[in-house]
Amino acid sequence: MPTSAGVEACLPIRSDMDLVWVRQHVRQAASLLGFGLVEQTKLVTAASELARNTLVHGGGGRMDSARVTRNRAVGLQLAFCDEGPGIADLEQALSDGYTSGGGLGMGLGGARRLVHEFSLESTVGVGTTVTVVSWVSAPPRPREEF
Amino acid sequence: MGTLRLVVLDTALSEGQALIERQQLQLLEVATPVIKLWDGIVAVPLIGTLDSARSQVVMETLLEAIVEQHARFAILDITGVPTVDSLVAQHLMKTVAAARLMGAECVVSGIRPAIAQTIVHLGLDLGTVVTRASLADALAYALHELGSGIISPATGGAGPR
Ligand SMILES: Nc1ncnc2c1ncn2[C@@H]1O[C@H](COP(=O)(O)OP(=O)(O)OP(=O)(O)O)[C@@H](O)[C@H]1O
Ligand SMILES: [Mg+2]
Repeated sequence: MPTSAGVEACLPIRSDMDLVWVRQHVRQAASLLGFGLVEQTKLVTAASELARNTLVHGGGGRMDSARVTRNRAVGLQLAFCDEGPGIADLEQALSDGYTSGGGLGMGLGGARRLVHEFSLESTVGVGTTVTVVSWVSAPPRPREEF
Repeated sequence: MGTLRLVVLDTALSEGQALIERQQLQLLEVATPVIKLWDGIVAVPLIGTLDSARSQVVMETLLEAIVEQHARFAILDITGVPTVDSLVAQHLMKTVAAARLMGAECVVSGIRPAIAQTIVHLGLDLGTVVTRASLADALAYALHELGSGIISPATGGAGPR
């Protein structure tokens, strides 16, 4: 049974270089927990999107990584928090193709499709936290959307 | 005592930082070779993180090579790119569009199965980009489009692979 060692972490997201560390940590943590190659790749890609949002739109922040369990299932939980401007219209932000900058607008919606559970909390003027969980095998309960 | 230790640690850290920055700069220049594969066909094997700075260098180097070599085809091989997210995809599509303006068609090769599945879930549409599984397939495609092919003497000329 894999433990939390190498999975539990709090990483700063302040620069492009930090995004490299975030991806590297998520790949390593997912591999330690026993995720297969496809699931590892999906998690790393979701983390890359969310961490870049934290950096670019949220003005920087951090990622907290933790091992979680539910009904004997083991999962990886990643939380991306910033104290940036927040998101006024969550539905609009999540819709494919919406961007307030020069992006493709696929980051948030795409990340949601790459993980088992996704929650987005944001308060204008206070900040944004996106929390995702993926389970090592099938999700223990029906898919939870935010 | 404590202060001294702190100073030493701080110096070591900033030296480490400077080293990393120097190596990043070196990587930018070194890691973007454009290889002539055939008359009119160039290839760029991309390795590592394709951030904005890196992809700017890739684009400039590739466009120069297209002019110099009179290339009609440019192959971008992403076997060595560990993550393809929306920003990387956007960079790839911009490079493809710029190459097209220079009269060269781009072929993206080396999309591994796990990355292909991730791209689909992410919802990225690479529909406008010609893709092939391997660099060899991309070369065969380009040769075929140029009207030449690889003849295998063993099988008595089976045509393009
Ligand atoms: N942490 C955040 N803080 C504030 N606004 C955010 C945050 N994350 C996302 N947004 C808003 O939601 C929009 C959509 O985000 P999404 O990641 O889908 O697209 P994008 O970042 O603009 O482009 P890309 O496809 O390159 O990711 C952003 O343009 C931004 O306005
Ligand atoms: Mg984004």
